[in-house]
Amino acid sequence: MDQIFKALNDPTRRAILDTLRQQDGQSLSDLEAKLTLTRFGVMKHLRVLESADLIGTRKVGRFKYHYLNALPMQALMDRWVAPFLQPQARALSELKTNLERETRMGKPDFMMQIFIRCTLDALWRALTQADEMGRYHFACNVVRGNVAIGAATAFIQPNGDAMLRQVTTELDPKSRIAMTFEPLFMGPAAPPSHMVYLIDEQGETCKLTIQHYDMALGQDGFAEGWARLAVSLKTYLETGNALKAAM
Amino acid sequence: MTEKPKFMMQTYIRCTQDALWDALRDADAFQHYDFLEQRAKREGDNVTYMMPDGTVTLHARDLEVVPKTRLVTSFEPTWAPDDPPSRITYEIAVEGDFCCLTVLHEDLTNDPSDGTGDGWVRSIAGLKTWLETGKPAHFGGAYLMEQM
Repeated sequence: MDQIFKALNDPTRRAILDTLRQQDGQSLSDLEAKLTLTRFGVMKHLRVLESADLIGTRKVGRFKYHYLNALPMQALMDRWVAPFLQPQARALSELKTNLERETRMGKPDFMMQIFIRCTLDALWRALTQADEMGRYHFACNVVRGNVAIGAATAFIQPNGDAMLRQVTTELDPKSRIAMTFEPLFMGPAAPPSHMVYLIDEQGETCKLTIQHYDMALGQDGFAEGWARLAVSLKTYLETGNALKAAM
Repeated sequence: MTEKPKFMMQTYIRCTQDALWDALRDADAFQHYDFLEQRAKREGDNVTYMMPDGTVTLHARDLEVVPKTRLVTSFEPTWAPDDPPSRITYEIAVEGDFCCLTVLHEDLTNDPSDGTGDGWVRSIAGLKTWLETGKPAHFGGAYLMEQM
């Protein structure tokens, strides 16, 4: 098994496996052409894959053809991946995540509150329905995907690019929403974080609390985004018109 | 130099610069949006704030006035008469058809999370609602009183 992990621990060898998955039974020359590697380089990597039993070869005349051997990979899946997908294991992993999140609840990296004169139902609709979000989001007119456990909500900029993706992880109707926060506008490598909306009805007013956890360095600018989002939401719910940023 | 606690918040209000400036400067406007439904009375550079029953809670003195853009006042609460006064700065920036209002409360002797910040959040929310809807808004007034 060590040899399998070692063989897989290299991008070129993974590329060779992918190439063989697309078309099994390729010659050394075929692989050399597809991978833009020297003949010697391809041979070296093929030897590692062969000794891990991930590929097999067959010689026909002057040519040697390479074939995927899926069995060791399947054994690895059965031993190292499948058990961790079992419901019990998954439940434990979720429990761990939740407990860790509860611990972090003590101190968000960013927190703000806003008071809105509206009904609890209206605020809940505005926070969970994609078409409503598009009406008040300060930078996006189109939002796709209603808020639901495990579902993604994408905020689309006028140029068609998604600026933000959020997956709902927890939902307590009319009181709490926990979501991931994937800031696509910062590029594909921007680290994701997570945030929580808390709703508290106080007489004829709703208090909305926004907490942002695990913000990375250099993400202080999110504070302004939240302020713009929250005040636009407030204006939208109280007057029917949002505060869209000049675009 | 040790940094004293401070509180900062920003909001965006759909209104004219004049309307926002007047709401901050005009003592009579205060009763329409303060979270405790307090009233304010101006005498020259000094503004006195009082609860609906007339109890005086706060004095504020104009320290710097740049019309429509910047207002700095002292903040001298009667509940902490021995503390040195703290300082409030309001700044207005126009952005399209709305204004960005920045509130900075500096030189505090207390941690703003002990209620000062909450008061600001409630009052500025009231100010925004009042300016945008024309209806008085007291976020927390009656509700907070019931809780006390």
